[in-house]
Amino acid sequence: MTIIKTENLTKIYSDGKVEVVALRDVNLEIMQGEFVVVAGPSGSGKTTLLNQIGGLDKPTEGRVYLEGKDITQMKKDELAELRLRKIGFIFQTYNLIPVLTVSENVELPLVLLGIPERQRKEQVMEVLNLLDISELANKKPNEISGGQQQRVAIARAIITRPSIILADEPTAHLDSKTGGMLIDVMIKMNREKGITFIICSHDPQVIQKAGRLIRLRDGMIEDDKKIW
Amino acid sequence: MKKFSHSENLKKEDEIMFFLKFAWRNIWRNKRRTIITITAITFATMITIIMRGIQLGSYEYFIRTIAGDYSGYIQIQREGYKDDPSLRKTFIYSDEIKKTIESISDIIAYAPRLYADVMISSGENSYGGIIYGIDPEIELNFSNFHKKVKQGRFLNKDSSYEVILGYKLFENLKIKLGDEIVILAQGFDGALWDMKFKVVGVVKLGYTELDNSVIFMNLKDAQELLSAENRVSVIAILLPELGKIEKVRQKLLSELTQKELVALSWEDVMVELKQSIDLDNASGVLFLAFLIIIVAFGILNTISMSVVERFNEFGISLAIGFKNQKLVLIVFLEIIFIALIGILLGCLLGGIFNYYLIKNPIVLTGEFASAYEEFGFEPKFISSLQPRIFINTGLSILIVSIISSIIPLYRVYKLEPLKGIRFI
Repeated sequence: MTIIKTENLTKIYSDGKVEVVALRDVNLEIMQGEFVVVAGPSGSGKTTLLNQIGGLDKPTEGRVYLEGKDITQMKKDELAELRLRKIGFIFQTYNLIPVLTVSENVELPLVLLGIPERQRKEQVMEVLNLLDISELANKKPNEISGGQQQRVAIARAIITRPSIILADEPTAHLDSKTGGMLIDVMIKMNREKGITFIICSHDPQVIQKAGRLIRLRDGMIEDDKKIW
Repeated sequence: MKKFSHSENLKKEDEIMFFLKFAWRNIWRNKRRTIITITAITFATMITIIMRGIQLGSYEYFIRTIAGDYSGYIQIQREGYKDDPSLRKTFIYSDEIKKTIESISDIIAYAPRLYADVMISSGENSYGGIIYGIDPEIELNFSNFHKKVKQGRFLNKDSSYEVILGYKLFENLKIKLGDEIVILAQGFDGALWDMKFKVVGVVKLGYTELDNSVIFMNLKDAQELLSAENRVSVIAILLPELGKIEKVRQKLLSELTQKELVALSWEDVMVELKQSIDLDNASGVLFLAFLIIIVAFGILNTISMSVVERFNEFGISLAIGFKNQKLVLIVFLEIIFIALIGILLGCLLGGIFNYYLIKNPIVLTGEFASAYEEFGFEPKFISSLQPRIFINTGLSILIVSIISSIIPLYRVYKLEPLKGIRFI
C-alpha cells in the first residue's frame, strides 16, 4: 500500500531577488513498512523534501499525498491534526521540552490526542520499555545523554502509533556507536511495529542500513534503489 | 451547539491539568526574570492598595464626618426642597414617619432638623443667619456639633429659648455668653415673628460660611419661632456603613407613604463634596493607572522574551501536532500564574499595611494638621480595607497583564512550525 506519494513536487525559495530551487519535479512513491533513507550532500533538498512530506511547508508546485489524501491543500489546523495522528518527527537536535520529564515528554502527544491519563501512563511505560529507557522516566532531558535523549525523541514519535516517522539527520549529534545503536532501534521499530521510516542522513552507517536508498542532488532524485 | 459527553469533558479537564503543570514549570525556567516580574506586580498591587486605601479611607472619614453632621447618609425631605429650601417645603414630622424609619433595621440613628434663614440682631448689630433647629439629645449620638463648642455649652433637651452661635457670627454681633439676641423670621404662615434667645455657647464648625451664620436652637423653639408646629426641613439618617445607602434608600422610598417625601443620598444633597471627592479620586486613579501601565511594559517585556526564546521549542511542538491555540493557552496560563502570584502577594502586603494604618493612623502635624482642623477634621491619615479596593486593583492588574501579553500571544498564534524550528 502506498503511504506517501509526491507528484511533480517543486519548492523554490525566493527572497525577491534570488530564487533557489530546493526541489525540482520530485515524483516519489513510498510503500507502507519501508525503511527509506534519503541521502545526498548538503543543499541537495533532503530536509526540504522531509518538510513537504510532513506538512511543515507548502510546495511551490506539485502535490503530496499521505495515505491518498492531498496534504498540500490542507489548512493549518488540519495539518496539525494530521501530524499528531499520522506522522512522528525526529529532529537532529533532540528537541525535548526541558521542563518536562522523559515520561511527560513522551506522554505529551497522547495528551493532545485526549487519551485518558491511566491509559497514557500505560502506553508511555510500554514504549519506554521497548526502547530500554524506562529507568529514565522521571529524569529531565538535561539529566540524560544525547543518545538517550534521541531515544526519548523516538519514543515520543512512535507513541501515537503513526503511519510514518520522519527523521532529519537523527544521528548528526551522536557518536558513531550511539548513532549505530539508534539506527538499530529504528530498524527494530520498523520491523516489529511496521512503522514506515523516512530518514534524511548523510551518515554512512545510516545509509548502510537503508532498506531503500534515495539519493538526491540539486533537488532532484539522482538514484532510487531498493535494498531489502 | 456542540455537546460534550462526560468522557470528553474529562479529557478536556485532563488536558488542562497537564497544561497547568506545564505552564507552572515554564514560568520557573528563568527564575530570576520571573521573580523580578512578580516583584514588580506585587509592588504595583501593594502601592495601589495602600494609596487607594488611604484615599477611600479618607473619603469614608470625610463622608462620615461631614455627611454625619450635615446631610446624614440619607436624607428624607419633601420633593423639591433641595432646589427650593424654604419653609414652604417643610413637612410634618409624624409618628408614622418615625415608625417607618424605626422599622428599618439598618438605620442606626435619625435626626429631625428644621432650617430657616433669619435676621439676628443684638443692639445695633444685625446680621443674616441660618437656624439649625435640632433635637440636642438626638444630636449627641448623631453629629459632632457638641464636640465643636468652643465656648459655653451645648444645648440640652430642656434648653428653652437658648441658642449657640457660629463663632464669627458671635464675634460680629460683639456679644458675650449669656447675652440676649433677637431673631426675626418669616414664619410658615407668612407673617414676621421675632423672639428673644439667650446665647449659651459658641461653635467653630470649620466652614466659614456656617461659622458666619449658624444659629443652633432646640427644634421646638425653631418650630415656635417659625410658626411651623411639628414641621421639619429634613430628617437626616445614619447607617452603619456607606455600602448600605442604596438599599436603605430604596426601602425608604417604597415604605414612606407620604407621596411628597423623597429619600436622597448624601451624594444628592452634598453635591460639592461629592464633586470634590470625585475629582480627587480621578486624579488618584490616573496616577495609579500610570503606575500600572509601567508595570504592563515590564510584563510585556518578560512575556515577549520568554516567548521569543522558546520559538524553536514552539516550532517543534507544532511539528509534533500541537495546534497554535494550545500553545497560546499554555503561554496564557503562564501569564495568569505570574500575575496572580504578584497580585495575591501585593494584596496581602497592602492589606497588612492598610490594617496597620487603620489601627495606628498617621497623625499629621504642622500646617497639614492645621488645615485639617480648620475644617473640623482630626488631623490623621486613615485607611480602608474595603473589598472593592482589592477586587478592583486585582482585576485591573490582571486585565492589564493580559492586555500587555496580547502581542506575544499573537506571535505564538501566528507562528509557523518551520519558522519556529529554524529560529535561532
